[in-house]
Amino acid sequence: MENNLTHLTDKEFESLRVSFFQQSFEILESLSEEILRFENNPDDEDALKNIQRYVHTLKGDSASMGLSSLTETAHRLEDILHMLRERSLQMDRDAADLLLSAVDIFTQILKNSKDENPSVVSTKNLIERVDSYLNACSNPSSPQIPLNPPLLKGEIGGLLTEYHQLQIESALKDGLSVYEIKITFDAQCRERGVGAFMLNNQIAALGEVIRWMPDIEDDGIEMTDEIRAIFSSRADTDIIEKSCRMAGVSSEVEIKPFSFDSPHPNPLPQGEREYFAASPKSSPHRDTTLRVDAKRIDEIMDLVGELIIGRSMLAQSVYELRERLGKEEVVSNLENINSLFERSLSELQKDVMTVRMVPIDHVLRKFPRVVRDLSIEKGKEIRLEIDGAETELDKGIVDVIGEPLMHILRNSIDHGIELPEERAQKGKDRCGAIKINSYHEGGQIIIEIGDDGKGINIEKLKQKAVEMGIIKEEDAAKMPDEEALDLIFHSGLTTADEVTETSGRGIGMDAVRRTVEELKGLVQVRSMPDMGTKFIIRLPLTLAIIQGMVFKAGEEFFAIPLSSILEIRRIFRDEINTINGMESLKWRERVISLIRLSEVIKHDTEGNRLLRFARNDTTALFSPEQNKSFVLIIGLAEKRVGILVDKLMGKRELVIKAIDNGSNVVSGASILGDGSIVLVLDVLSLVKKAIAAA
Amino acid sequence: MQEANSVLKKKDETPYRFLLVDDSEFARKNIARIVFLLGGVIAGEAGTGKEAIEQYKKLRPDVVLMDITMPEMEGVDAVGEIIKEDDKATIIMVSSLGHKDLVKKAIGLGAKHFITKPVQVEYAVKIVRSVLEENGENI
Repeated sequence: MENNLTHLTDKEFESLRVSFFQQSFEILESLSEEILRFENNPDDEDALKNIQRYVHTLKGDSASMGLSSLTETAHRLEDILHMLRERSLQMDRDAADLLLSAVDIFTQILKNSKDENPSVVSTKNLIERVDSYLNACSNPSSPQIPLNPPLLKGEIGGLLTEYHQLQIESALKDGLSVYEIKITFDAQCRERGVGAFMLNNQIAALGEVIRWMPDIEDDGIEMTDEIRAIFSSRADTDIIEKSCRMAGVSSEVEIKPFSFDSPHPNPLPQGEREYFAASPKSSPHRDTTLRVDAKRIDEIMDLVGELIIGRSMLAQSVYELRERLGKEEVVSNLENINSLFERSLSELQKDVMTVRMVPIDHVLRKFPRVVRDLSIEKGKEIRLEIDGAETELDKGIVDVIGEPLMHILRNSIDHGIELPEERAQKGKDRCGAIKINSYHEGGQIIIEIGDDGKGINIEKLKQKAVEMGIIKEEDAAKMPDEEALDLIFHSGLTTADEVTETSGRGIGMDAVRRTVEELKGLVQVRSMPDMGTKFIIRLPLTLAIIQGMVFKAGEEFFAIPLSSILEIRRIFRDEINTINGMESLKWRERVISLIRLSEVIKHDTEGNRLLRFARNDTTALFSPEQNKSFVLIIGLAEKRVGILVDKLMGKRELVIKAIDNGSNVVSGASILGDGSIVLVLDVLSLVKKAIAAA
Repeated sequence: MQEANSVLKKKDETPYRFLLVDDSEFARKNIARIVFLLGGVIAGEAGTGKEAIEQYKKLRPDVVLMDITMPEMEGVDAVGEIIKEDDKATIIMVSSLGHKDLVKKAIGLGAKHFITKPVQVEYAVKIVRSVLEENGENI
């Protein structure tokens, strides 16, 4: 990348580059949001103001990164924004289309540049559209907006927000002089923040500092060699200069009259950060937030997991010592240390978890644009309502859940919501509604996407499934609706069936299910003819720690993610039917297979170290003195399976450690407080195994 | 402006008198080198903020070199008390890195400048000298 930051070392440049892309993509997302907001309400001045700021920021940033095509296009776009501001142009769908296409092109330019993809994104078409749009709209009486010469290379003007510009203009109007002061720090000055604070105190007595670059409150100032101030004052330059000279703090002082286009040859990383901070999205607490590579947090999380396991082993040893030594002081001390560790570790774990949590808004904010574009394309009227965008979930989940949600959304627009005429005939509001709601419930996050469209045609779905040989005709007739609906997650049905076909988007409902399952979650669908369809996705809050139901089967402890459990119920011996050697249970009008874990594990792990599970199945289950037990009903899409349990130990938070166990029904292990090992079951393969056996 | 290494004297040709405040004796010895290089004299030493105030009242030194974190009373609080006693007091903070906010607070209360630990003696001398020269102009 040809940049204008050649004074930086490679490493500095690389880190600046990373933050440039990160911030720019965020700005682009906010930009689309504001464009949609402005389109919906052309009187929303704040939206327009934000759009202007975002475009201005992109223009300045891309200039310093040498992305001239983006810079120039952004510059042209500003002409349109200016006219919208002046109200010589009206915000309408065409204007919104144009602005949104620009966002798309910016995104593409940035993506290519980020991936170092040399292909050139043509902006010619867009610029022509801008020109013809401006020509078509320009009122012959209103003067053409003069285009500023494109000298935007890291200009200092770009570092100022409109507010600052206003301050400068009003100071000049009041007859004050506005200076740009450059102060180089004394190389030996080590608390530069304090030094800048003293300088600020000094010169604030002579006038007003409009802006420090970087902000003198910013921690980054410690790494800066020079700071600049935009300063308005009536005092003479030599008096100002003298007050900027402070032994041990400043070494060189340079004062010149301020100009908006004065070159800013040395935009330090801190300056750049300020630049971004000047965008309206920035929070007032920016000094205290940092961006951290998610990988580093994962590493910390891993270590915390190790510590927690180590701590429970320590607890076990302390317990044994107590048994052996009785009330020795050293044992009591160890017990105290242990409980101190326990408390601190659980705090630490909670804190690290919190760091990983991000609001689901990161995913959902792209949706309004999709709904707008797609509903225009399909000739539909659709209102999108989003609730609970602030609901937080694990970053690892946020990163992958977007695509399945998007797929469901597209499906609703494409197949759920009817055309306006059709809706009117049915007596519905011409404008359809899609509601997305997300919230926390019992240690899980629930995401619902519902529409008020025509619903899924269950008969048609069954018919298709019969045709494709997925179910038998005689079964189809008696298949309950709930079960039949789950057929849409069947991979065979998604490719050819008109009912669920999704215009070749590349991923089908089976992929939705697969992704959700990989996240140890569950997806369900409900649908009523002409009332609509609703997808409900349940996900764990985090991947590293699960809420698990711990239970005993045989002599071993097992756990199943709570999110996979549909129901826990008592089961009596006489409820179990044996058909062809398979045990089954009648549950909610369907027959489900039952699994005895000792059987599965024995079968699965023949010849490997889990052989110790291989005892002949005379488990404690239904021992003579006990003829009732528990069954956990687990579900994956339309499949339901019951797991027989000897003893329920209760709900626990489990830190999952991957184990190399040669058993594909065990996804990991965890350690309970007393040191006993819990095998965490992989529901997906467990269900598959049960189905295969049946 | 005097020569950088020349001895600094008050207008009445007597040497500047310093009060050194730090809870570490070693640190005080170290700071004493600054006084020596400037040709000043050590009027007194204090190990806590409280002592610093008492000593200040008793000795009326020309300059106080004040550590920022100390037992019994923090340097910052002592600055406030001393300035209350004598608003012309010349106090220079001496602090290790990372106490930015405390140093700013002390300066806000009236301390004239700051030196960071570990003290680089020549740099510190430059700072103390400039503060004293500035004072001289203002008197």
